[in-house]
Amino acid sequence: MRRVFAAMAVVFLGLAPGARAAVPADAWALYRQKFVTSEGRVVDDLNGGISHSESQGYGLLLACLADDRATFARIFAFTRTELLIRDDGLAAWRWDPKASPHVTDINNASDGDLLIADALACAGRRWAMPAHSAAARQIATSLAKVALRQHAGQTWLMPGAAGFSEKDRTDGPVVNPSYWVFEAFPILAKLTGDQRWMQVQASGLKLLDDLAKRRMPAPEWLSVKAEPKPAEGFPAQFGYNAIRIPLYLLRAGLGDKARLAPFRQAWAAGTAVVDVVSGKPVEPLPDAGYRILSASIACAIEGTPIPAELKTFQPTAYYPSTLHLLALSMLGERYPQCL
Amino acid sequence: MPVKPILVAVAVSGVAFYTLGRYGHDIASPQLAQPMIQPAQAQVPQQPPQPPAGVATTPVDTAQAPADPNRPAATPQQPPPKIDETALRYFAGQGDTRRYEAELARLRALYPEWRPPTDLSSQGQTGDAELERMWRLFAEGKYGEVRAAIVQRGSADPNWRAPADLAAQLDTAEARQRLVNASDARQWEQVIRLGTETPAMLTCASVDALWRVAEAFVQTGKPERARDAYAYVLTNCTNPAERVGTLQKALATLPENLVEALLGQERQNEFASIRDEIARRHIGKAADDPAQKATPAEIQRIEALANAAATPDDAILLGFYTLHHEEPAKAVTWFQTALGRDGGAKAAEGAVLALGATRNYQEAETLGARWLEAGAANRKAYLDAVTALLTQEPPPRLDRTVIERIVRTVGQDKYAPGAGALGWYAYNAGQITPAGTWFDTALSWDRGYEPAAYGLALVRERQRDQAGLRTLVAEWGGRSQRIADVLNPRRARSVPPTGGQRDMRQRPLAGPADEPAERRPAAIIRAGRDNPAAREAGPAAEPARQAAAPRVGGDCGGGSSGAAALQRGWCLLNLKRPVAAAAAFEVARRGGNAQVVADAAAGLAYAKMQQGLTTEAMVAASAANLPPARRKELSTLLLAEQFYAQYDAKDFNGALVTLSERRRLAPETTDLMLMRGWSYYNLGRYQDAERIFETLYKVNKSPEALSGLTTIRDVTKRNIQ
Repeated sequence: MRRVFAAMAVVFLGLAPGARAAVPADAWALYRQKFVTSEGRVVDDLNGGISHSESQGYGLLLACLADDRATFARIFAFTRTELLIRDDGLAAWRWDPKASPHVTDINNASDGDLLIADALACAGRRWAMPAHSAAARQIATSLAKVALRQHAGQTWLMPGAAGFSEKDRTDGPVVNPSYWVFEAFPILAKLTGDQRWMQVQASGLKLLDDLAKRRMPAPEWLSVKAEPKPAEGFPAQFGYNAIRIPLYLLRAGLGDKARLAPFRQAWAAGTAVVDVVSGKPVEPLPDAGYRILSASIACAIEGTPIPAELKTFQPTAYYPSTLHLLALSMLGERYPQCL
Repeated sequence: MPVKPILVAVAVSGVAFYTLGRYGHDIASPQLAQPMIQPAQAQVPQQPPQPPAGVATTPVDTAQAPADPNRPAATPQQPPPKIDETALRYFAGQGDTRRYEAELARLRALYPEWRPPTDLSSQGQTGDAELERMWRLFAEGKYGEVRAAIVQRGSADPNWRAPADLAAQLDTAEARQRLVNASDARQWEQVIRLGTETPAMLTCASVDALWRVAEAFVQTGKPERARDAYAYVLTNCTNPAERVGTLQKALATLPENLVEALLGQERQNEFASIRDEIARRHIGKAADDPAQKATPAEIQRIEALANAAATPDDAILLGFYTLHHEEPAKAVTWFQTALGRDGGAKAAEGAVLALGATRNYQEAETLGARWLEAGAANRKAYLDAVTALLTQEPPPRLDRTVIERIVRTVGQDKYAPGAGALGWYAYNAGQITPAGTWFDTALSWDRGYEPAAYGLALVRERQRDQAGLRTLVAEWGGRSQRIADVLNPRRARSVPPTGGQRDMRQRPLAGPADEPAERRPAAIIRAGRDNPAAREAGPAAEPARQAAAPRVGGDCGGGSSGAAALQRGWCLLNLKRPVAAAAAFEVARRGGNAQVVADAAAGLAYAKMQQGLTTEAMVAASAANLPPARRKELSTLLLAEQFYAQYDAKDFNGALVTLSERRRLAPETTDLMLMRGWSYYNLGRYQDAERIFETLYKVNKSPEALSGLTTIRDVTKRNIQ
C-alpha cells in the first residue's frame, strides 16, 4: 500500500522523466553536432579530445532527456563496446583516440558508472526497454559491490574500485562529494532493491549539511577518516568537479536553502573556482554553462529571474555545455517559471 | 569443412552472466532472443529459445557428431526453413569477399541442407534502400551508426523490425569488438563471459577471437579449456596460416603435454615448424642445464636445419648444447660456423668458452680480445680464458701485446681471479716480487679470494718475510688449511709433490669466487716453490711493468744510478712505502736515460696516488714524457682517483665532469657507472640515476644497482593522483 502511494507520489510530483522531452530539441541538436561523433563517442574537447565514462554517461542521460533514441543507441553502442569491458562489468574510465589500445586506464570512476546506470534506467523507463533496465541494474549491482563502503556507521560512495580506501591512503577513506549523482540513488535503490543506495544519499546530504554549517562549500576531495576535511595532496578548492554539486541537488529536488547557502556565498561575486578555506575566488568561470548554475540556485531559492542570454544554449566546450543542458532540463522540469 | 559456431566451454559453471552481453532484444524479432548457439540446436530456427549453456562443454565438430540423441533430426517432412540471404546478397553485391565467405560459412553451419543461391547478382535485391544503407554501414564496421539507423526506422515505422540476420550479425560483430577490447585490457573474465554469451562469434571466420578466449582461459588458470579452444580450430578450420598460428599460440602458453595432443591433429606435415620450435626449446633448456638432455632425434632435426641455414641461431644453440654436454670440440665448430654467419657477440662468447674448454687458450684469447666491447658476457668469457691461459704449466710464452691487453682487461674489470692468475704466472716464472704485487691486487679487489691469499703466503715464504707470513696465516689459517700449512713446512714437505699439486688445484673449488680459474685443468705449480729455477728473463716481467707494480725482485737495494733508483722506487712502492718510493723515483727522474726518466715519472705518479695525493700524481704524470698508451692508462687511473676525491668532497658536478673525461679514454667500469648513478642521485637527477641503475641491473643484476633503484623509488614515490 505504501509502495503504491509512493509510486503515485512520484507520478504526481513529476519526478519520473516524463513523456515530454526535458532537454529542448534544438539545444540538444547543437550539443550532439558538436560533441557526439557518428560512432557514438562523446568528446571532451578541451581535454585532448578524449572520452570517458563520465562524458559517455552524460551523453546517454541527455539523449534520454531529449527523447533521442537513435543517438542514445549510438552512444550506448560505443560505451558498451569500448568501455564496459572490465571484469566486474563496470566502465573503464579513460578512452584516448590517439592511444592503442584506446583504453588507457582500466580503472573505473564511480560517477561515470552512476551516470551510465542512471541513463540506462531512464531509457528503460522512457522507451519501455527492459534490456536497458537490466543493464542499469547490472551496473548498479557491480558498483555497489566495489564502491559502497561502510565507515564510521555511514555508507560511503568510494570514487573508484581502487585507490581511495583506508588501506590505500593514510587519510583514507577519501571521497569526492561531486560523485554523488543524487538523482540516481532512488532509481538504483528501486531497480536493485538495495537500500544502501539510499544510505549513500543520506551520507552525502549529511556531509553537505555539515559543511554548510561550517559555511564551507564542498572541496573536490574530502577525507572522511574522522571529521571531514580536505584530502591530502589535493587542492582544497571548490573546483571544476565540485561545481556540479548544487546542480545535482537541484536536479534531485534536494536543493534546500540552507544546504545551498555556501555555494551561493562562494559565487556571490560570480562563478569561480573558490578556495574553501579563505573563500576567495581562485579562477573565474565565465562560461554560460557555469553561470547558469549560479543563476539556477538564485531562481530556485528566491525566484530571481534567469538572465535571458543563459536561457538559450550555445555550445562552447564539452563540460560547461553539458552542465548547461542539464541545468536547462532541470529548470524546465522543476522550475518552469524560471524560464 | 563447414564452419561451426563454437559453444565455448566454461570451466566454472557459476560464472555470472551479464545481461549487457546482449542488447537489442526489444527491437529484434522474438527468435533473435535465442543466441547463436550450437548449430545442432539452431537447425530449426522456430525451435524455442534455449539458454546459453553454462555447463562445461568441449567444443565439438557437430557435423561429425550425428549420434547426438538430443539433436533433432532434420527430416524431409519438415518444411524447409526460410533462409535470410540478405546479407549474403549484399556482400556479394559489394564484392566484399571476406564477409561474403564468412556469411556463407555461417549459413552453411546453421542450415546444412541449404545450398547457396547461384543468382546472387540478378535477384534478391531487397529493393529497400534504407536497409541497403544499414548493411553498408555494417560492412564498414560502423556498428553505432547501424544501431542508430535501426532505432530511427523503428521509431518512424512501429511495424518495422530489423531483419533477423542483420540484428544477429550486429550482435556478433559488436561482441567480437568488445572481446578484443577486453582482451587488450587483460580483462580475462570478461573475455570468457563474452565468448560464452555470444558463441556465434567464435567461428573459423574469426580465429583471432578464439585465440583470445583461449588466452583468457590460460590466464585464468584453465589450460585444458584453452587446449579445447585450440583443438576446435584444428578440427574445424582450414586456413593454413591460422592453423600453424594456433599451434604457435598453444606452444607459447600451454604446458607441453597439452601441446602434444594438439600436434596429433596435424594434416600433411603442416606443423614441421612447430616441431622444430619444440626441439629448439628442449635443446635450449638442456643447453642451460647440463643435467637435462635433448633426444637424438631432436638434435638431428636441428643439426639438419643448422647445416642448411645461412643464419647463425641454430648453430649457436647447438654450440651451447654441445659445450655443456662434454663435446667442446663440436661446440668450437658450431660457434665458428655461427661466427662465419655473422653470429655476433653470442657466437663469439660461445667460441671463446668452447676454445677454452678444448684448452686452446691462446686462440680463445685472440678471438675474445676482438669482442671485449661487445658486452659483459664476452668480457667474462675472455677473462676466464686468460685466467686459464696464465695458469698453465709450464707458463706459456706470450707476446708482449697479449700480456698488455690481458693486464688492461683484468685491471678494467678488477677481476680478482685474473689478477691471481697473473700472480701465478709471475710466480711460476720465478718472479716472486711481481707475483706478490698481483696477489695483493687480487685481494684488494676481492678480500675473500683464497687462491690469491695462498699465493701471497708462498711469496712471503720465498721472501723469508716471516712477519708478513704470520699475519697472513693469522687471517687465513682458520679458513684455509693449505695457507696454514705454509707455516708448517714439515707437514707440507711430507706431502708428495704431485699430491700437493692436486691439493692446490682442488681445494679452492670449495670457494665460489675462484671458480673461473679453478675450473680450468691447468693450475699453478707448487713444484716451483721447491725448484726456484730463476727465470728472471721470463715473461712475467711484462705484466709487472704494465701494472702499478714493481718490476724488481729481492730487497730494494741501494745505488745512486738512475736505473738503480728506479728499481728501488718500484720496490718501495711495492712495500707500500710511497713516500720513500716517491723520493727514489725523483732521484731516478733526475739521473737516467729517457726510458728511465719516463718510467720514473710514471712511478712517481703511482707513488703519489698511493699517498692519496691525486693532484700531485696528475702533475707528475703530465710532466713525464710517457708513451701514449702508458699515459692513457695512467690518466684513466688518475681520473678515477680524482672522481672519488670529488665525490667524497660532495662535488658531484665536478665528479661527473671527471667521469666524462675519463670515459673519453676508457670504457666506464661497472663500479664507476654505479658511482655515476649515485652522483646523479645526489644532484637530484633521479631520472638520469634511474636510467644508469636500470642499465646496470639489466647487465649483471647487481644488488648495488637494485638498491639504487629502490632508493630512487622511495624518494620519488608520489601520492596517488
